[in-house]
Parts: sequence; structure tokens; C-alpha cells
Amino acid sequence: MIEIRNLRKTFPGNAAPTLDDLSLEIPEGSFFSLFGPSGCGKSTLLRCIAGLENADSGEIRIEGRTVFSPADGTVVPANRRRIGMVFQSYAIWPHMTVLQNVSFPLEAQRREDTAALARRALEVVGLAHLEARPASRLSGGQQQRVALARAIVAEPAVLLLDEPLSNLDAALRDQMRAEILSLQKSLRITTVYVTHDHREALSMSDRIAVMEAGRFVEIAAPVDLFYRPGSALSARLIGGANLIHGVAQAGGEGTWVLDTPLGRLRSAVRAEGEVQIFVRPEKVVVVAEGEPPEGLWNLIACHVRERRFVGDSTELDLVPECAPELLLRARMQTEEAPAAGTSVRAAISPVDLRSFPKAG
Amino acid sequence: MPLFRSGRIWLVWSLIGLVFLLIGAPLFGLLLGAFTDTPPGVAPRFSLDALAYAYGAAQHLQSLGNSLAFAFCTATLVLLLGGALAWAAARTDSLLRHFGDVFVLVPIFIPAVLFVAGWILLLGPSNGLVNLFLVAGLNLSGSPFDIYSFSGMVWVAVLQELPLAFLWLWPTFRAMNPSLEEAAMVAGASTGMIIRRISLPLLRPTLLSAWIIFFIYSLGALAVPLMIGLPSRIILYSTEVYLAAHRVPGDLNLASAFSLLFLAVTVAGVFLYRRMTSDADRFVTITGKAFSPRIVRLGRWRALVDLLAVATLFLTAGLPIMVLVWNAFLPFPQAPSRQAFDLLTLKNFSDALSYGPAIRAVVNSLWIGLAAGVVTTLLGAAIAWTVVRYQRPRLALALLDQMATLTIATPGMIVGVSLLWFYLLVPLPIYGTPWLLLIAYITLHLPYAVRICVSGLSQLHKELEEAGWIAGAGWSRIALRIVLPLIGASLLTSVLYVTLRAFREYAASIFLAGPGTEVFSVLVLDLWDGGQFNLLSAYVTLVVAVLAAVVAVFSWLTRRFSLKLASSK
Repeated sequence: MIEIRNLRKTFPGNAAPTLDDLSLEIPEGSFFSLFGPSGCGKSTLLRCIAGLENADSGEIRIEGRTVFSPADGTVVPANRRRIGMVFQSYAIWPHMTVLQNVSFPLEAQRREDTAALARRALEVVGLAHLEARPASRLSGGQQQRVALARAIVAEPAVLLLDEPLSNLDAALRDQMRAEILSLQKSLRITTVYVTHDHREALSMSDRIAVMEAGRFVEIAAPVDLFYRPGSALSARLIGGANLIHGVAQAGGEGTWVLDTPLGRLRSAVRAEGEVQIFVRPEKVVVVAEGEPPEGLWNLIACHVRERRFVGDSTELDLVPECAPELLLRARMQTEEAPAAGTSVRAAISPVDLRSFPKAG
Repeated sequence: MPLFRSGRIWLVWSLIGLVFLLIGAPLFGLLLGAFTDTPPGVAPRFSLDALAYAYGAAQHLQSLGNSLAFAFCTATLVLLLGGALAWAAARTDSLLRHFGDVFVLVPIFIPAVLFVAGWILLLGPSNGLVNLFLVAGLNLSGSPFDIYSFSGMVWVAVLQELPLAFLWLWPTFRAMNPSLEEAAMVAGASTGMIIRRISLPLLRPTLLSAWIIFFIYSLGALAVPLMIGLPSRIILYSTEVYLAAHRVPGDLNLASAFSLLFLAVTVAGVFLYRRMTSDADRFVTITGKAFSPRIVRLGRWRALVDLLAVATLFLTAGLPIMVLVWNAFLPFPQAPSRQAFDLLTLKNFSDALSYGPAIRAVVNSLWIGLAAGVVTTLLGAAIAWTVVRYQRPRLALALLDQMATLTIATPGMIVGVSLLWFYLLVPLPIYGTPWLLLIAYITLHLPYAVRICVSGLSQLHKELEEAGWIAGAGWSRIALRIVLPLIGASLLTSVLYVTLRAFREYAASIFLAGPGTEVFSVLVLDLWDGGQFNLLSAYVTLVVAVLAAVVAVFSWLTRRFSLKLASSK
């Protein structure tokens, strides 16, 4: 369990704080992701948890032990915090063998039986056969595994990962993603994972903190974050989203009416006043022109400007006839996708129309 | 590929040819000199006499022993002290962090001869200022320090080479990937363990190769052996080379024979250096990536480190400059006192200005130095570009790279002696002209120009040039409009660096300068030999002031250049 209270940090020479009064609780054994664009402060927060950097004020507790609290004068250095960390560049020591790299934390923490424990960690990551190899002669994926073995070998209280997959190619990245996750689940180790890739964050985490400009935009479980984001900003950061301005009012019978450039839309989600309306592309249903289909709501006449095959589905850029300056993005099964130039109708179910009060 | 295949090969081979001429020709002269007993210009008669005398006589073995001991002590101390300073500047929150480049630049102003002279005036047994102070202040019966000793030589040499060590190690320390140490920290290692198990092993190739460079450099140094060693009858190998060439009648054959050993040590050293630095590349400590190094907070040690840093700066730059300026205003060397202040005079300055070749020597040094700076930089930039950008022909490129950096640690006097041979042999009317000095300076400083240009070019992403090709520009347009503006600051730095090095160069110049082609550093050495301390002090003070002004203008230009680039981005 990691508890963070009112953490603040401003780098000298910067006007804006890098960490702006952050508080957070990461439950025991959970996989927690810090997600956000570069420069949002996610790496700095991770490094503060590790003790590689110190915040200006606030408090950090790991497993009930206060490791950082300048108010009490407690600042436990990184080498006394019992953590494991995987660096973005892996930071494998090139002058040591694989085994030496992995057994180093055990030596540093004066454990017994270092070689046996290090070998077990190497077995866990599937590199036992490479223990004698100089670390400078490893491929990217192997370095990644050595870094992982080194991070878990001393059975740390928490595991910190700083964009560990960003230097790998796509196929290897998918594989390592699964391996890291199953390793975390089997060790039940509290894990903090920094990433700017929303697919990584969504697929691995128990909870995700979306960060921007040193603040948490939202902290939520992946499914909630994706389908029921708490703000337009996190909707935009996590996956693609259609955002439309509108004015909302109650429409009676548990429905709300949204006046938008696309016409009057009906929503089953509460909204009031000026709002931003958010629809996931896969929730935009596209039907052919002609007979009015049954059971569809919020029909919008559009034509298909562009059609893109993206592998598991096809993306459509739709231009509404009533608001040609807007673009509505839809995603659907490739077999059913209409050709570019076709006139179609888009439909959005009232339960999929979510709105946020307009910021500012 | 930027150039057509044929054009590329043509460029590579003409560069190789040029560099070969720069290095190969004098080497040939040196070998010829060592294996003959006839002076240059006469039909050569082959003989092994010079070699037998150089390597057989007992007194020469003695001086070889002296030299090795001297170079070993100096290089080791320089590495320890310079390494500590560079580490403090690169990796701690000490004061040094802010004036690291001052530490590199200031000593470049001070010619080696002047530096040694300054320290003799400070620690000389009979009239050294420090000694005079201590004798008067503590009522001692005799001088506590005698610079005319082995330890005195090492002391001055170490202080003199410190900035070099700093220049060599500082960037490496700064470029270390900080996460390698952070990983150890997170693993639970203490600071001592991190230094012992991670930092030092990672830096070992760098430190060892730096030691080799310092060793060769100490071996080939001439100012300390001549100005301190000779009066104290400690003859080094470099002194033997000088004496052989300068006794009357001069024995260039013997000087060449001596030089061969230097050459062998240098080549072996550079070979080792290369092996270790290529090892260092395997260690991913140094990448093109700009890291912000992990800064160690020194806490209560900070004051001590700051004090030591200021003291070192004072010893390497402040004190020698002060003693020279002081003596520039005095009729004869003495400690500051009430009587001394009454004696202050400007006569030295007027004497220095009216001293026969004084003005001419400075003018010669400046224009030859500047010419060397420009030519060396152009050649260095062409070589750097070729080596960095081309992948083939692989062998030819490797050859070019190796040859261009071969003279990185070559003692100036080898180049001096060997050039003397070659250009006395060939029927070119170069002997006794500034051309000879220019060639020597280019040969000596080419490796530095290549280094500076390579580091500038490797920051310039290849795609910037490729975008030029795509846009339809030819290679001359790309060089002029894209490459040159972007690495302009590096080029100016290279010109400045080579010009300054050439200006203070004496070890080769001492063999090559003659009447009409006097240069500043050699003239200072002559004045020193003639015992005119105070005239010399005034002269050097004047010139260093002028030089400082030139450098100020230059660095202002460089900064403007980079500013303009930054603002246009």
C-alpha cells in the first residue's frame, strides 16, 4: 500500500508546479498506472515514490512506513525504501554479467544465498540460461527481462515501472505486457506503472490515474474510465472521442435534451446548461440511407468523407449535413462499413451520450 | 547517399592523401635522420651510430628512467586530482559546477613557459616569493621549498596539466547515464558501494585511457624539463632531444634517434587508448542523449570542496598570473614590501615594446596561429563530416579516422625535429619560412579539430541533410546552407581552440622558428634563458591582455552565432 498526501514539487526556474498538491492511495497488491502526456508529472511522481527525487512538501508512506515527510524531517533515501524499479532505459550495468546484475540488490541489502535467489528470479523471467552472459550483449527484450528480474529479486514492497515498454518493438511489447502482468499477479506486489500509451494503461491496470499539468484529472478503473470518463479531458486522453458542444435541459421521463450543431439529441444521462458531449467512435452506429430503421435514436444525416481500414475494424470520418464544419468519427466492422462518398445516417443511443459541464 | 559513389571515393582518398602527407612525410624524415649520420641536405650515409649512442650510453638510460618516473608520477597525480575536480564540477552541487568552463579556458591563456616561470618566481630557492615570505614571516634560516628538484618538477607539471585533465574528464562525467547509478540506489546500495561497484568500473576505460594521454603528454613536455630540470641537473629524455638539436654543432641525427622512442611510446599509447575507448563505447555510459547528471549533494563537505576548488584555480591560474603582473612592474624580482612598492616602474613595458623581435613575434604567432586555426578546422570539418556521414568505403574511412587522430598525443618536439628533416630534404623553399610552423601546427592540432567537429556533427541529425537532398539541393548548397550554419558554433570553437593552442605551442616551434619567424612562446623562453625575468613579465602581461581581448571577441561571436540559431529555431 502506498499513501501519498498533498505532494507538491516545483522545479527551480519553472513557474508552474510539476506536482500540484497530489494525494493518492494505492491499495496493497494492486496494479496502478500513472497515465498522461509527456511532461504531465507522472515520471516525477514515480521518482518521488522511489526517493530518486524529493518533493517540496507532502507525505509518502509505503506499507505504513513514512518514507517522506519533510514536516517531520523524515526523508528515507532510495536505497532504504525496499523498492524494485524498472527504468525506461533498463539501466542494465554493462560491466557485469546477467547474474551479477540480478544479484546486486541482494548483495546491497546484505541478504544470504544471493546466487540461488538471483537464479530463481532469472528463472521467473525465463533467462536462467543466460546468467553468465555479459550484460552488454543482450537484446532489447532480454535487457527488459533482466531489469525485471533485478527489480523483483529482493522481494520489494513495491514495484515501480517507468515506461518500461516504450523502447521495444510492437510484437515484443504485447508479449512483455502480458508477462509483466502475470508476474505482478503471481507475486501480488503493489505496482506503479508509468505510461503514455492508453492501451497499456487500460489493459494492465486495476486503476488508472490520468494526469495533466501536475494534477490528477481522474482516478478510476479502466472500464469506467473508458466508457464513463469523469471529464472531457480524460475522455480525450484515453482513446479517441467525439466531443461536441451543446446546451442541455431536462426533457422529462428520465431523459435530457441536448441542443447541438447536429440538431436536438436525446440523452439518458443527466446534463444541465452548457456542456461538452462525448461519444466513443464505436458507439456511433452507421446505417444506410433509406427506410428509417427501428429502435434507433438521434439520427443524423451524414456523408462519409473518408474510410480507413485499421486492422480489427474500420474507421469512418463522417461529415454531418447540417454542420459540415464538424467531423464525427465512427468505428465499425469492416464488412459493414460504407464506402467513401456514400450518404449515410449516424445514430447514437441515448445511453451512450455523456456530457460534462463545460470547463471554465 | 549524399555524393555519387565516385565523388565520395574521390573525397575520401584525397583527404587520406592530405593527412598522409601531413603525417607520413615528417615520419619519413625522422626515420632517415635516425638511420644516417649526415646532416640534412647532404647525400645521406646510412649508419647506426646515432641509434647506438642514443640507446646505448648509460647517461641516456638514466634520463629515460627519469622521464618514465616523471611521467608516471605526473600522470597519476593529474588523474587523481583532475578526476576529483571534474567529478566535483560535473556531479556535485559544489561551486565548481558554475565555473567549470572558466577552469578550462583560463589556463589556455597562460603559455606553458610563463606558467613554469611564474612558479619558479614563487618557489625558487633564492628569490621565490613564497620562500621569501616564509623566511621573513617565520624567521627560518633557509628556504623551505626548492623548486629545482624532482618533486618541484612534478608539482609544476601536475598543476599545468590539471586543466587538460579537467577538459578530458569533465564531459565524460557529465554524460554518464544517471539511471545506472539510480538503479543501484533503488537496489539498496550505499553511496560508497555505488561508487565502488558501479561508477568506477563504468569509468575505468575512460580513466585508464585518460591516464595514457596524460602520461604521453608528460613524457613529451619540454618547458618543465628545460626550465626546472636542466638547472637542477635532472635530465629527462625530452631534454636530451632538445640538447642534441641545440648544441653547437647540432646533431639532428641523434635528436631523431631519440625521437623514435617517443614515437614508439606515443603510437603504443594511442593504440591502447583506442582499444580502451572503443571498449568504453560498448559501455553505454556515453550516448548522444543529453542526460541531466545526478547531482550529489555534498552537505557539510561542500564548503571544503569549494575551498579546494578555489585553491586549485588559484594555484593553476591566479598565482602565476599575479606573480607575473607583480614582476612586470619591478626592476628585479622581490617580495611585495614597502620598499618594493617604491620601486614600481613602467620601464619594463617600454623596454618590452622596443625589444627587437618582440612585436614581430607576437604578430607572427597571431597570424600563423589564426591561419592554422582556420586551415585545421576546415580540414578537420571535412574529415569529421566524411567519417560521421559515410558508411563506405569502410576500410578507407577507418584509415582516415585513425590517421587523422594519430597525432593526438604526439609530443610537439617530434613534429618539430621531423619536419626539419623533411623540408630540408625536399627542394621546396619552405625552410626558415612561416609555412613550416603552419604545417607543424596543423599536424599537431588536427586531432582536436576533428574531435570538436565530430561532436558538433553528431548532434546534427542526418535527416536535416537528407531533407536538403530531397528538396533538390546539391552537396555544396547543403554544406553552405544547412551544415555550416548548424555547426558554425563548433567550427568557431575549433578555430579558437587551435589558434590558442598554436599560440602557446613551443615544443615544435623551438625547432622551427628562426630569425624573422620568431614566435611569441619561443621568444619568452629565450628571454627566460637570458635571465630577463622582469622584461619577460611585462611582455607576457601585455600579450596575455591582448590575447584575452581577442578571445573575448571570439567567444562573443560564438555565442551570438548560437543565439541566432536558437532564436531562429
